[in-house]
Amino acid sequence: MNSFTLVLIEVLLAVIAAPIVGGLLTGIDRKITARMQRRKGPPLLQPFYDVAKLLQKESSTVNMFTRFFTSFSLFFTVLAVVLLFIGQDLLLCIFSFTLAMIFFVIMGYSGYSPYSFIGAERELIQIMCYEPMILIMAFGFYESTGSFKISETLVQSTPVITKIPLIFLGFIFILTIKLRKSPFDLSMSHHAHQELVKGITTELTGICMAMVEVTHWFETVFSLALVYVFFIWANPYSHVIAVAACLIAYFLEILIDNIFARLKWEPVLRTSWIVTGAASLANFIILGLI
Amino acid sequence: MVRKSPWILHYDGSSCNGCDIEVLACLTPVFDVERFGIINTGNPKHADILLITGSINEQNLPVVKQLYDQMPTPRAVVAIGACAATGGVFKDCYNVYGGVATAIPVDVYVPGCAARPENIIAGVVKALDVLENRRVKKSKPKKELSTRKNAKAKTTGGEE
Amino acid sequence: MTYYFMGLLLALPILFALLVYISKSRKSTAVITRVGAGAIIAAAVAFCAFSFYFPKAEAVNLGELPFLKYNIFVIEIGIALYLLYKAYTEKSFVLGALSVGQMGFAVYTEFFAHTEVESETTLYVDSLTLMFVLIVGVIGGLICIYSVEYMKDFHRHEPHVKNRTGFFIATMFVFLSAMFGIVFSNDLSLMLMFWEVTSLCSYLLIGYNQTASARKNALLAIKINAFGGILFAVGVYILKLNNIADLTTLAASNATFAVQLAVLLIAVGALTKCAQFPFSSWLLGAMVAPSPSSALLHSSTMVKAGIFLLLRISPLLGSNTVGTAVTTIGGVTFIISALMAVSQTDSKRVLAHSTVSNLGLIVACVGINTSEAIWAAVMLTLFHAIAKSLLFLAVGSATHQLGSRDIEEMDGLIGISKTLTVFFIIGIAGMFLAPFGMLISKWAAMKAFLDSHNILIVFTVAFGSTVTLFFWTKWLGKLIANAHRKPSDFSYKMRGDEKVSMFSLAALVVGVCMLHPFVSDFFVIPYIGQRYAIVQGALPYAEGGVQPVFSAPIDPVASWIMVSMIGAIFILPLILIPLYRHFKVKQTSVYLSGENTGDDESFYGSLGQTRKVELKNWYMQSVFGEKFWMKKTIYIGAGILIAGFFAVVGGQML
Repeated sequence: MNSFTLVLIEVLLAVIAAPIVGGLLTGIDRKITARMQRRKGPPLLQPFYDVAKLLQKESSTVNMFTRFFTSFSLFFTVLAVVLLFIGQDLLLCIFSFTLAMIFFVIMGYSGYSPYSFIGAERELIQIMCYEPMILIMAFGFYESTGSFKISETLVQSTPVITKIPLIFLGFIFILTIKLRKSPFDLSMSHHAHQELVKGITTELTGICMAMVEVTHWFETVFSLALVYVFFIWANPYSHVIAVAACLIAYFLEILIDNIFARLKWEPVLRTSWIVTGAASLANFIILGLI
Repeated sequence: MVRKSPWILHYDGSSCNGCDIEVLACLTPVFDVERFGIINTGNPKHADILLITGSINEQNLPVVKQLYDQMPTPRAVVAIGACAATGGVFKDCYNVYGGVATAIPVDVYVPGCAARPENIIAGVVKALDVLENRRVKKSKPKKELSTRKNAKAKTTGGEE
Repeated sequence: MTYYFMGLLLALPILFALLVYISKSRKSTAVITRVGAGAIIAAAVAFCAFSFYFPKAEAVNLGELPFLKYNIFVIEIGIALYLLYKAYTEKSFVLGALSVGQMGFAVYTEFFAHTEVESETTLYVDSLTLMFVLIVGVIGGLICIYSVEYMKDFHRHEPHVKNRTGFFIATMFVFLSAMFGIVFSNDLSLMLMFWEVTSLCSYLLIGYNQTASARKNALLAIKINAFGGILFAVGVYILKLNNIADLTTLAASNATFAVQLAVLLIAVGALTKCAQFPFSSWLLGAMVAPSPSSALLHSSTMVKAGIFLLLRISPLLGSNTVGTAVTTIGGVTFIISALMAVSQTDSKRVLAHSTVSNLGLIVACVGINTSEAIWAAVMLTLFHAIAKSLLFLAVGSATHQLGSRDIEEMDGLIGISKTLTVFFIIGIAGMFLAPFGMLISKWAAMKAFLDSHNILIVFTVAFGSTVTLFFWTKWLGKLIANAHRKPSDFSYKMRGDEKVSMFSLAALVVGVCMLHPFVSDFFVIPYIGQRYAIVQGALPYAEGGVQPVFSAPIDPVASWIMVSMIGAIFILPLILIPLYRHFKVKQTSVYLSGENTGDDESFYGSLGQTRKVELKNWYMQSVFGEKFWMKKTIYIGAGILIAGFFAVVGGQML
């Protein structure tokens, strides 16, 4: 199998398998959350039913530009996942992903709706909270593998986590923000009845809302894939460990979601920046960067 | 597919809040409507089914009409409890117009004072059939938004 | 031939400045300005094209011309005398003292100090110079074209300001000439003279309105710049005592104590010019000037003169004391200015903070002084110059269209002028968005910082970039927010000149991003090769030396993925628009809890009152407030500089 076929398979995996996995993970999330609250919960495939329904509904919009922004957001999220899967430059993946998030925020701004406007503003604050950690995570990869290339991790003799464990902890912390889990679900929440209605997605209907849901699946896959690359090295069995690590991390996030109440923006900003700063500083000292 | 994922908007009109509390009771672990994929969205733009408890009065007439306008088709309305059906004990109040049907077309009536959660869930399930039928026939979009200014001028018209 | 081109570029602007200054009618001023700006752009482009085909003659020696030295002296004394006069009329003791000091020092070095050293090459051209020539010539020319009709509207909007358009444009032309002078000079005294001329132009342009605040800020700017000029002069004097009179010799010299001290002084002089902490306040004050001058002097060119000088002395920076001090100042400036930009509603002030912040990043890169860092610095300079001047010009036009330059007012802009909104979006995207220019170079900067193992800078770039992203996106959101509001009764139309220059700049933002691998190959990589050749005393590649081994720090595959991402942003709509035309959606009203009055901009409040929906951005004064940070920046910056000074002096004593 030559490298071109391999890349093609990886791209197909990213485009087709990623949303399926993302949807299933969301379904598992809802199921586990329900069980934690001693409910039965929706079927596992509920996220797919939701999206299928949204596609059948009438589409309306408050601003004709909105659907362009949602499409762009989806496109660049998919691109980020594809780049990650083919083992490209980690910073490039992050840039593509950030671009997608910015389109998402712009989508919230367009339309002059109070709820989505405030949601967009909060989403932006969330980005400001987690972005330094994601960048520093990439820096940590660079320091431990000597390259930003994700494919480099596959030729290492030890997984990256052994070199940057504290950065990993910091990353798990901001993963809560990234996956929109309580206590950091400022901009929109999966749960009904919050003060912002549905936050940034309030004005979306039909196909636009479906696109946002699918984007969110890709986002979940992207976030967990970042956890994944911490655990892989030259050993082929490492992939099993990495999958297990992802599942544990995801379960932890669900647990955190269910035991914390939401915070205001200031504590969110403060805690995430302090955690980012402290964890990465300590780790860089261990690495001997100073 | 709407059968498997009905999202709900709940509005409380002029009522004693009894039915209101029963609707919320459906969300509790005891009844757990999320089993059926039902989510209380609190947002007309995401909702498929509008649950209304309580009667229609001078104040909430335009609001109910506007919320209904803003729901994307196909959509269904479930009136819950005696007040939502006819105005109930508030029927003769000076500011009350009557049941939900005085503002918007109602598809399913759930009786009771207050309505029981089991009945409410049954009502929503009934509304799903209505939605499924409606998906086949496309409805015409409304042009103008109902607001306080024009809410009373318009007469109640059916969806079909 | 190079010689003639340099002469042409220096003389053309002066000629047109004179013509504009003496022209009486408004029409002739406009025609002369357009012709002049066009000629300058053409000359700059021709010069570059020529230099690519005949990359030989690089150094020009004017040492034999005796009048040059006296010309420098006369011009410097003239500037000092003018400033002394201004100090008298403005009753500023500090400025008086500075100008007397400047004059005294010039006289002393001219007549009493015995520094017979002559520079080997007076003028010097390499690919860095060419890039700066393009920046100054093309962007400067476009801005001059813009100001022709901008100034008309400016005076219509500000009737109390005396109309001195001719003077304004003439000063801009003089400035362009001085700027060309700076980038051509290799001789330090010559560069110092041009340096003072740019400071003077900046003073005149900031004070253009002649209002109390304009005069105050102009005075602040000249004070700080004159101070920097004196430091520069002292540095040059110290170098001359050590037989160094030009930049190429300096770059190849050993870092003895005297050289280090001189480099520190010159670096601080450069930092005043590019408004780093603790000197950043003058650039914020300079925003009282009309927009074209902010675009030209305070974002794209004059502040870049500081960067240019730092780049020229950069072989002596790096991991030594001076390099560390410069890097630290750059890093701290980068992050704190970005923080302050978050709290501002005035668009020009946001731009000013962001300019200071980006210059900080560039300064940090130059201070690091590795090949990657220099690559990043040069690319940042280029991208920043284009995108920022576009934004300043767009703010100028928006001020006239909206009657305000408050960002909160800009949600109505799209209803008034779609073209201008697009220019804004392109400019803002160019400043921070992923596949666009600034980010490409920031990427290289991140790599360079990591390789230099400077943890402080690594952190500032992570946090600073994020904060940058925050305030730009917030602004972008405001521009897009109210896309369906009906055009109101504004009668203002964007003028032809403004459209031409902004369109060209917008095209440049996109074009240079798309072609950045070529830009890197043509300008930056040869420069870095030559630079190291000079430091090592080898022949430059163009003169038959060894081929530089340095390649762009970004992997070519990744680089082209970036370019195709930009492509995707433009191609996707072409696919989506026909698709969306097929799948129609209904335009509906905004959800306002069922109380929308029907126009999407107001709702029924309590008691049936109609209330307007007003959506404002977050400015988070408690964390990012200017009040909280402004004073601290001065202490932090001054602290770092003083520490650097003592480290250099102490290092010698130990």
